[in-house]
Amino acid sequence: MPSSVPLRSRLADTRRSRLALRARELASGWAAGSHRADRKGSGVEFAGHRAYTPGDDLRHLDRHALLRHKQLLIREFFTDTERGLHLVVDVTSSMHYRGRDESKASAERETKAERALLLAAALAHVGREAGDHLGLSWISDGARKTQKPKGGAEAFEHIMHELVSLDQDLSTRAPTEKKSEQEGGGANFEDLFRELGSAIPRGTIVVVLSDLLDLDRAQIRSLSALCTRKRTVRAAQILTPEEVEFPFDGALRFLDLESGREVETDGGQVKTDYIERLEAYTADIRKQLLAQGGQLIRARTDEDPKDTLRHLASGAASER
Amino acid sequence: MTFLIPLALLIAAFAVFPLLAHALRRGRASPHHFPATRFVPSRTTTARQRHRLEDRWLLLLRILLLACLALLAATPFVKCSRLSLGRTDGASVAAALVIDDSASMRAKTAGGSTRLEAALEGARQLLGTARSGDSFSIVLAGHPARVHTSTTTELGSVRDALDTIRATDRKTDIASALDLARSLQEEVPQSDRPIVLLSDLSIPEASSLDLEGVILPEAGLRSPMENCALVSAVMSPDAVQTEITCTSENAIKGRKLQLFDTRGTAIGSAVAAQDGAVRLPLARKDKKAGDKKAGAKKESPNMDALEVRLTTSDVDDIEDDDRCVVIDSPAALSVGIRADQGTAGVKTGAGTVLQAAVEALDRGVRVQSLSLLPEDPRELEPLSALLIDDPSGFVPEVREAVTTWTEQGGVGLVLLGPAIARAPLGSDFAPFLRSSPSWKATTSSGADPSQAGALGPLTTGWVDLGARHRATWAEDDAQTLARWDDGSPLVSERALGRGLLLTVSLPSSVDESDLALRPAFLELLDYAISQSAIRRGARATPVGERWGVDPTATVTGPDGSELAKQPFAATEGTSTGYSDFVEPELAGRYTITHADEEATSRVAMRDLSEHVTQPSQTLGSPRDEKRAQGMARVGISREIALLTLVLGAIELAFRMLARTRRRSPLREGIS
Repeated sequence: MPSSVPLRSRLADTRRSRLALRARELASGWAAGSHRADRKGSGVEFAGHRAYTPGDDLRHLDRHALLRHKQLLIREFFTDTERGLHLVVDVTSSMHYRGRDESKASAERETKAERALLLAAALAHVGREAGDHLGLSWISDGARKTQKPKGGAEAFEHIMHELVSLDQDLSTRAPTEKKSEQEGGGANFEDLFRELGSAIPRGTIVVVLSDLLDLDRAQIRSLSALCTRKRTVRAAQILTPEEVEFPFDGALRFLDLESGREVETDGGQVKTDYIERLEAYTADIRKQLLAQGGQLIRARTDEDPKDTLRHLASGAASER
Repeated sequence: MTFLIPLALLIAAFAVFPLLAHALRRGRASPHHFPATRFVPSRTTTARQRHRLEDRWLLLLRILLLACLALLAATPFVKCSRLSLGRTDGASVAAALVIDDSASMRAKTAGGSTRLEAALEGARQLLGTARSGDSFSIVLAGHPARVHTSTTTELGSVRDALDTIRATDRKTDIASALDLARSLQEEVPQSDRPIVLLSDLSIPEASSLDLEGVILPEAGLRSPMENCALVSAVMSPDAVQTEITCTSENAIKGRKLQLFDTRGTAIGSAVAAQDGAVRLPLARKDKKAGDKKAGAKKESPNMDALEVRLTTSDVDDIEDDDRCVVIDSPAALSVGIRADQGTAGVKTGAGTVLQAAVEALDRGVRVQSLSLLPEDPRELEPLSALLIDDPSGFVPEVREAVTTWTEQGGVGLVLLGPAIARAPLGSDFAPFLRSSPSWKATTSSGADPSQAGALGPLTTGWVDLGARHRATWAEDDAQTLARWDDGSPLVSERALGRGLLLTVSLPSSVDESDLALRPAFLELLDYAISQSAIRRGARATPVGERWGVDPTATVTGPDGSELAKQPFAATEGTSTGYSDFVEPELAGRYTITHADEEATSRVAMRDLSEHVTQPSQTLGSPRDEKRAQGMARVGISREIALLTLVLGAIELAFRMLARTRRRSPLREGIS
């Protein structure tokens, strides 16, 4: 690269290519055809019989069944078809938490938002390979953006560009900027989910990549409401090991990253209570999603992202 | 506690900074950003309590650290019981340790150890603060004073020498010991030459000691004692005459005397002990046995092996002086009698009343009549007792001779009579009396048994003496053995050196009184002669007195150990006729076995004053008080420095522990 290119731009390109490379590497092995659509039609895999109705294609009329049962039966097949995949990425302040990973250098640690962007990019690759229509929504403190699912390479490139931009934005943000955003206003998930409920088409798979730590009951209801119109919601709760295990001890004063709430406590004494509260909260979301046909998985930042991607992608494939 | 640099204590004012710092940070823990804060239960009280607790410990540690640093800078000294070798100019020191190993040093201190042990411990403490180049010498102040260790810089050998010093029954001889120490100090090259005297100063003449430049650390040696000691026990035909000396009535209260034979069997009945002379009567068969023993003793010296014991008491500070061997009446005692045949002669025969009385005692003593009182001590040398009847006074030469002779163990008895009214110019009655007596008419009929001293019930025979006149004198420090019924002294007793002086206020003349006609008079004479046997007898000498022995003889002490023989100096050897000598340092019976297997025994006797003289608290001559106080000041900078280090380490560990416990991943987790 010529030396006249500004350093920031070079770093941005490097980062873009890194995210893209990691996402493509992560998504490799996932191809079209491996995902079965939920529509039956002119595919190759036999799906069963049904009674003939006028207007059916006579090519699918089962002659053997007519001779055997003297009934007009139509043979049905599963068909591989394009389906919308909408990615919802949470980049609010709570997603900037990096956690503590003593085995790695500080610069190599991954924030929850970075993990969410990586998974989103990888899923976008998987969706493009499957020929799905791709859509993207992201939400930050006081801002959000939605791109409705579209097919084609242009939509994929647009989504990748958006994800890389968010990634760059994360890397250039300073803690003070985060604070000012906090003060500027919180993320409104309820509005986002309502907007998506009317904007994204029927049958779309909605993948939510968030820590889901700050949802109130109304927001959880609006999330599960996305499951209407044959849509499926796959939520990945991305947490750091510290948030799952609470390895703190001694006198501590915690400050909530989004609400600014302050709690003084004793780490060793409240560990069990904390874990119980977190699990109860997560179980409540999972229960509501399951009731609507959705799914919630937990993704830890210290786990291999491939596992999370496998869970999300296989889940999505099973829905087709 | 004193300080070399007191101003440095101002550093302690910096303790206000940790106080401020703790006050500022004490309230709350530092905040940690955490996304899941909404699930964290609040435990405000517990968290703050722990924080406060940790804060308090840290605060205390830091204040202590600062206080220690301030102390360290101020260079503290504490006054303690440990002695240290002070240095006047920082150079090496040549110290002479004068250690009193006399019998009084056997007394127990408040700490439970004996005074000698406390003195040796003090000496070891001084040695412990010595540096390379310092030299020490040890002089022992038990009579006779002697150099135990010559000046040496080998501190190890001095320490070893201290371990060989044992308790003795010697009397105190501090003056000679100090002279010896001074002579040793003259030869050392160091300019700083302290003489450290470790003694209880239990001597009557402590105020006359020359303590110029002598360091006299207290070291717990000079606390008063309560004690009773058996000074002597002399066999008479039907009793054992014992002499007991006590510091107070409390020390003798409830105690008894018992007589034991060699095998430890009680052969004499126990009688109540009292301060002074006590007669321990022998049972008839015991008497016979005693006689037999006495008779056999001439054949075998080991027959005389009786022992008198004083029962134990809770208030007795010296236990080793509660037993005493019984010595038999000496066969070769010589008693000098100076009496006027005209005034004190026996009407019915030749000789004087005194001569007749002494012969009536049948103690086998040799009586020597003196026409004049000797003016040369050498003329008194053969005598063990001197009885003087109705003297008109003593001229200075006689006084000097009698004083010298008495100090060497002689026992004098003077019976005052009308001649005192004719005392010539320049004469008085010293050393018997310190004031001049007078011969006066008396209305008193005789002695008062209820006021009897050491003579006790014997004085009942003197209730009616029929005296028209008597001698009177001002009472001084002499002990009164018997009193007239109007309270005036009838018989008094004064110890002088190793000897004893008795004064009676009536003469022996039967014209003046019936004194000599009563049995108590014989008892009085018996007492005087017994004392002379003890104090000057050929076979009983004071502890520490050298005995000339043949080079081939072996001397076994009362504890069964063999005494080491030492060669006489050339001059001494010619005067005694022996080439070697032993120096008995324990009271008791010693057996001398000669080359021809013949064995003789000798007795070493205690000095009376050692066991009852209280430590002197006031001293006449000035001594090195400032340095003595300095010896008890010990620098504790090293200890404080160690404490500071320990506190620093604890503070560091505390902080690391607190940091580990408070360490939060949240702060590191925020990018």
